[in-house]
Amino acid sequence: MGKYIVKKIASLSLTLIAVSFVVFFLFSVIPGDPAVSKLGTNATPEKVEALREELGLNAPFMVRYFKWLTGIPRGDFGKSYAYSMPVSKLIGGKLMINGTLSLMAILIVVGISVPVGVYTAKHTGGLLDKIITVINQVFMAFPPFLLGLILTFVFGMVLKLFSPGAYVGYDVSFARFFGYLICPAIALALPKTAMCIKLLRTNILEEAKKDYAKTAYSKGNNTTGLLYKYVLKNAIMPTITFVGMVFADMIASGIVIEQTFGIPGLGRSLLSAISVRDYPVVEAIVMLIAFGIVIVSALTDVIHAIVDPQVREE
Amino acid sequence: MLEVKDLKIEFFDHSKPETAVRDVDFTMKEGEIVGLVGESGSGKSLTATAIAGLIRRGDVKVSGEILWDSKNLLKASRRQMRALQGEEIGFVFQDPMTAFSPVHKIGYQVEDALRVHGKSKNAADLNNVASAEGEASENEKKAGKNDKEEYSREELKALAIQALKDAELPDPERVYNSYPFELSGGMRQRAMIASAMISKPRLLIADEPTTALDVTVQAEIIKLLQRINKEDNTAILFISHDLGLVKKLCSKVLVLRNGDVLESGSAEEIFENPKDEYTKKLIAANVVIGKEHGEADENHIIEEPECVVTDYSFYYPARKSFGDLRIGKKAEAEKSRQPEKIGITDIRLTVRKGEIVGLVGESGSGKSTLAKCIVGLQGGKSATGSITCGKARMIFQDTYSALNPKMKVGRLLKEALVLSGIKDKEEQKKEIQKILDEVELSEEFLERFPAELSGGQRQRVGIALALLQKPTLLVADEPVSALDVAISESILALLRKISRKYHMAILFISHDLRTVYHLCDRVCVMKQGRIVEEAEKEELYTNPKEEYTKVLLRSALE
Repeated sequence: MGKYIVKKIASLSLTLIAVSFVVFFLFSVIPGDPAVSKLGTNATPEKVEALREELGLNAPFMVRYFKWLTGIPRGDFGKSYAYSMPVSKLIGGKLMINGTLSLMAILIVVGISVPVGVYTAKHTGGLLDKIITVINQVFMAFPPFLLGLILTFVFGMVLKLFSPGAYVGYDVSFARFFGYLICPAIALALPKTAMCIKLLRTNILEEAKKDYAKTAYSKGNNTTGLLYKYVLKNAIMPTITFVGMVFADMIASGIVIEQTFGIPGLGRSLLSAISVRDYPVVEAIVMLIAFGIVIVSALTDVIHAIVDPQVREE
Repeated sequence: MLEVKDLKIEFFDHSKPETAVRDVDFTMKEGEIVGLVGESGSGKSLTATAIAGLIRRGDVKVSGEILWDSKNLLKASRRQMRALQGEEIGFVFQDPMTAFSPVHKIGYQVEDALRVHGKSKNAADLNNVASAEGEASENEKKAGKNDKEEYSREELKALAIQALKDAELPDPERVYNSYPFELSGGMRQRAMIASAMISKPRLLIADEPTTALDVTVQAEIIKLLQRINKEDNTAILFISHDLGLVKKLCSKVLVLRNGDVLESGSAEEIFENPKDEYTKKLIAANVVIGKEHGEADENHIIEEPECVVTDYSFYYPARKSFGDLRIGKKAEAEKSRQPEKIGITDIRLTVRKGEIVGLVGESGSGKSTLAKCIVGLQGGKSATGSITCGKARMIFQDTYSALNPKMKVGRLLKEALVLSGIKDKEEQKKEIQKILDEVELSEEFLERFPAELSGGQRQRVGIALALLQKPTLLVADEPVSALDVAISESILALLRKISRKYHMAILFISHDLRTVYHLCDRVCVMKQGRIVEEAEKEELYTNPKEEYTKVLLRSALE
């Protein structure tokens, strides 16, 4: 197991380095000069040249890349062009916001879909199973931002359980920050929860048809015994993969949800940084997203290996 | 102990009920071994599943009587039935790979019957069957809750290891901590038997327990069953399509076909003096060696080599990937734990036009690897030596996974034609018609999906697919191992016909020496990646030189 993890970490580090190169390369070849965009189109060429020199844009590509790359492990992503302050300071706090939001959403997905998925599989064809199936279809079809709007309307304006737009920073009051994030997290989580329930239900039913189920029955197990002793462990695997993918996806869908609920997260910084060609910020955010996704997929693999002995052997 | 009366099983999943089994009658005494024989679809497995109470679908109706100690099991509640399952009745399934959950350790699964039933023998509750149903189950609920004394972890483990030892598994401690995929097929089946026998049931139902295994392993499993029967006085209901095994094991035999019992009686009666035509045919198909089969057509072989393999070696690349940090002893221990793919060494082999060469050996002997190398699915840079060969096509063992399940047969065949460059619609139609005649399938099969065909029909489609590309060499990798006797007979006849008609060279791979004797002109015996003996058929079967060949022959003939 230990070896497996070491191997995983090694291959993941390589992935991250590859991603960093692509990111840095792309932003250095796309058209648009950060110096021009900072000084405005009226600036004299001399001034632009001076600023380019100051920002270190004139050094050769590989030199800039290695300087940037070696800074990352220390948390140094360079200086923002637009705000002239370290990128890490600029986005450090946002990371906390988005991390909390994604984590809450993922907990909702797992917390609801596992028990409900198991229940519907066990009571296939029952009334509740049918109702849940219909509700599932509806939620699957909802994009998160629309759900966000509905939730804002219902809980914010009708029931007045939270005040839309009155975001509270976690440094001010963590409890209120957390409270504010509940609705966005639900909006993010519900469509995925619906998919997850459906996936788990299907997998459980599929596994319950396999030969080992018959073996379990032949020992005198009842359906509950079969389900919890054998089927669940076999059926959970695709769900683990799915949750991993969902987590990665949440970082992206989070950007939209931030806008809907007025949360000053990474998404907002990303959008504004792109519009002013503040490349260090953009690069840093993209790298963080990539890092998050890679970590999650590694975790998924490790969990897989814990559940399925055959994965370990490969 | 067990008495089955007028057992009838009907399916209701289509518009009209379909009777799968009718009028099955037999009795079993303690310690008796009864055989149920028949091809698939004959209802033998269904009968066994019904006795074990494993038919749980709502659309299946079981009527008649199954009397266990004179109590009708068909009238018992689920709870009462469960009290018997795993406690009094053990079940061994055909394929030990799928019958075990892949992600749970063997030990856990072997213990399961004990874990379910606890220490008390609550099977006695079945006496309540006769009394009022509702009341009985109420009492049982209480009784079951109070009486059940759980085994402790240590007790479970000790018993499981004893059971594994009883099933003659070497190193039971290791097996206990293994996952199913870490064991060989034979070991898995032994573990399966251990898991059924752990609670010392009075009846063991074995549903084709040896079909998925090699010949030598088969013989061992049969011996194990015999020993269990003798030592524990366990009655065994043995289900098989292999009459050889049934003859060796059973004292009483029932022959089933299409849900009817054709014949029943003592094993001696049935084998010495069969009354029914079908039984006679089955027995004839099994007793092959020692009798010349078919006409001696010596001159069908043309002295022109079709496929020549010279000093060919191929090894699977060592499994080392990036970051592989295994060192020293641990790595070796790990290696020995896995069934290693050994590859093939110094193969010399010639197949002439019109000749059928048999390639025999146990699984893991490199037969399939050689086959794959010849058709070019394996080999490549890491291979040495040469293979000169015309167009070779392969026929696979597992007909189900060899055909794309989402394509109709017609489309599968068409695709093979397109691949060999025939794009004209009319021409395609003609070719397909021709090939269907050749493999003796009617046109209606074109509109069916592979899943809607029987195993034999699927294999015919597989042969058609191979033939459509006009090969000069057919490599058939265990094409009949997954099929019933009667059906495999017909597939073999088809292969023989093709060989004679087109002077097709065929390399026939099998672990079944009887089939090989049936079909082949010459036989090569493989062991651990090498061809250890090669001879004309008669010579090899009457006068084997290698010790290994002798062992193979003995276990096939026993």
